[in-house]
Amino acid sequence: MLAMLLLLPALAAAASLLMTSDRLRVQLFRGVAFLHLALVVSIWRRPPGPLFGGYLDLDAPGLLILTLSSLLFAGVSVYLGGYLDRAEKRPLRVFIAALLGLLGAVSLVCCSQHLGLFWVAVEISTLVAAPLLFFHHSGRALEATWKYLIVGSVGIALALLGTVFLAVAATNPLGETTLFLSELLAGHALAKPWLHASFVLLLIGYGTKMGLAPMHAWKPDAYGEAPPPVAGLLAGAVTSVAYLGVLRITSVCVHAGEGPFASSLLVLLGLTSMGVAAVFIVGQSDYRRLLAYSSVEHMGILVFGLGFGITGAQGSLLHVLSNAMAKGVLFLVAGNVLQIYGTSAMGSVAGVLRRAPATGALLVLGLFAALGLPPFGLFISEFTILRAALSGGASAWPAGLYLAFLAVIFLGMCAAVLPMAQGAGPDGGHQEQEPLSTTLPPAVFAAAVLVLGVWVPAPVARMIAAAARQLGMG
Amino acid sequence: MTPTVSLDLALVIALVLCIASLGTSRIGAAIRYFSLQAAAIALVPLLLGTRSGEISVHAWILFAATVGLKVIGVPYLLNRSVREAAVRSEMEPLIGFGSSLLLGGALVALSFALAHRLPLPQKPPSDLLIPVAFSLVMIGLLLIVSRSTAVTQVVGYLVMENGIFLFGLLLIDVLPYLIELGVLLDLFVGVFVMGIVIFHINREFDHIDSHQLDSLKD
Repeated sequence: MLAMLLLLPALAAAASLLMTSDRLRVQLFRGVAFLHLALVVSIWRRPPGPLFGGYLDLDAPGLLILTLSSLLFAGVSVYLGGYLDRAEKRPLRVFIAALLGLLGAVSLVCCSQHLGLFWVAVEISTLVAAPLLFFHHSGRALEATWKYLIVGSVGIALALLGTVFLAVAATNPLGETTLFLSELLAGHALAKPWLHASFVLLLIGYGTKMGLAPMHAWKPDAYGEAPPPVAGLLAGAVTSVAYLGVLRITSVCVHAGEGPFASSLLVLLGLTSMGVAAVFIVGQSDYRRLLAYSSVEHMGILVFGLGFGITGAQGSLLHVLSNAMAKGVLFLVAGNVLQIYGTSAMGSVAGVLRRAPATGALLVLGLFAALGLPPFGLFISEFTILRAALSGGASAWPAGLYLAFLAVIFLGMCAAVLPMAQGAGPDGGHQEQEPLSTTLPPAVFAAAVLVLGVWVPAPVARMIAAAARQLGMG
Repeated sequence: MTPTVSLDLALVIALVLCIASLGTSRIGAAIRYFSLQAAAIALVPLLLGTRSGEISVHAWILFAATVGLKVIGVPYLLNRSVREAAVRSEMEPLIGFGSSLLLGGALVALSFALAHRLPLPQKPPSDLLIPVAFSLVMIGLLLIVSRSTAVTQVVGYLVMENGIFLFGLLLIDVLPYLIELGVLLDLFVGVFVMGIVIFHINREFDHIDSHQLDSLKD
């Protein structure tokens, strides 16, 4: 089962390179994405065993991230048909192959139980995303791709260094070492100074991939210039996969008795990201860059939550699911708005609700979801994290700052996005065509965030609890 | 010369070449320094082997892969992109060449201090291995942030990677091949992808000054 999960996208990527018809390529991508989703669903019913001597296995956190990624890819594969029909025509050979490659790389990251293999898989996902960003071949896209590559490569190189340090930390007196997660979590002795250095490097490295401030320089450019469905995949799936890396190394630290050290850094980095996001969201004039900063904010919330024990970890894991779905809504809707108005400047967009009712409604819903209004899933997760931050009996400063940043971002996002939805468009009552393929996927994602807010399905709740327990706090 | 002395010598040569690349303004020279540095580093796994008496197959594979990729392959790719662009020398580095050299010296000192703070579980084969590895990582980072041409930034990334490679040699006998091969392959593909982007930057902007890439900002 695991082997199929990984081989399917890889083989399809190769097939896409060999095909001659672009229409067939889009259909291939859709077929593979849904087959992948079906495989993931069957894994929920019957967990597969480990593969290749334990290098590959799906544990609770891996399965959660894999599921949200698979859902996003399936939604985007439907959306892409309608989007590409209306977009500037470009050859799709490399584009579709890279999308399939990204699906394969993301699946490989989720299944990796060896931190060396984990790194290799994250690096593959970085590289296959480059052609996706460069899709439009413009000077601006080029600039965004270069920043993404060079900042991402430095981050990933630091993560490699951190991985090597972890192996050094795990070296025993006989000269043997391990990077298998199960052995690291089972009380393998770790040399403290090397573990500390390793945690810092891995947090910076995978944090760069997540887009945590101050390593977020690539993010606004990449999300601002990439085709919106691609940006949705990056913001929903690829950052979540990098979050899995932070989760893994945090659990190693906690099991080695260095939980407080890890927590203090996670909280600091989380608050920095939220603060930077708040500063740049207020007064932002480009809605795609606005969404990028919203992503920086939510990545900050994710690591902030990890810093507060088992309750915080549960909130953080619920947040990663809801955030991925909310980003799916917002970026796909942003793609619709971009195609209708032909610009990503907020000043030139007004009256979306009137001109394209479905897109407008989804824009408002997506905004409310991302802001964490009840009854959406992000409200529950953000509230859980707040409770965890207040319950430790420690200083109330982090929780206070967390609330303050959330409030500023709330006002900034509302002031920016609501005028886009309301008002009369520049040309009065004219209504746009809205193909179902471009409105149905974001609607499904919006429904998913709503479901996560009112009633977390029992298997998902069990999986979140298991993943939080694996972190080893409390 | 005993193996330990030659090991120290190779490490010192790598460090000196790394500092030299901080001081040069010509891109061609920076690439040459990197290629020589990679050659010195390629010898390290072999010298580690002779120290313990026998050179393993693993060490030979690392040697061959490093020579093939870093001494020959990557410099060839980079030289080609420099030839295609009209730019031969670094324009307006963010930090001047003299100050980068001073800063480089400070980073080397910092590396020795850091190495002192991080005692290895087992005695390293050479007391210079860890400080030189730290120096390469930090000077590589300095090159990336302080230089404005895309090719020099790639050279910085590669210098940094050489440093990580030296750290990795501490684990030469214990980490599986699969992972090392994955790392080397990723590195090569990464530089290849960067090469393609540099090619497009050349075509789009007629130069490879990545600081001209600044229309995206808040």
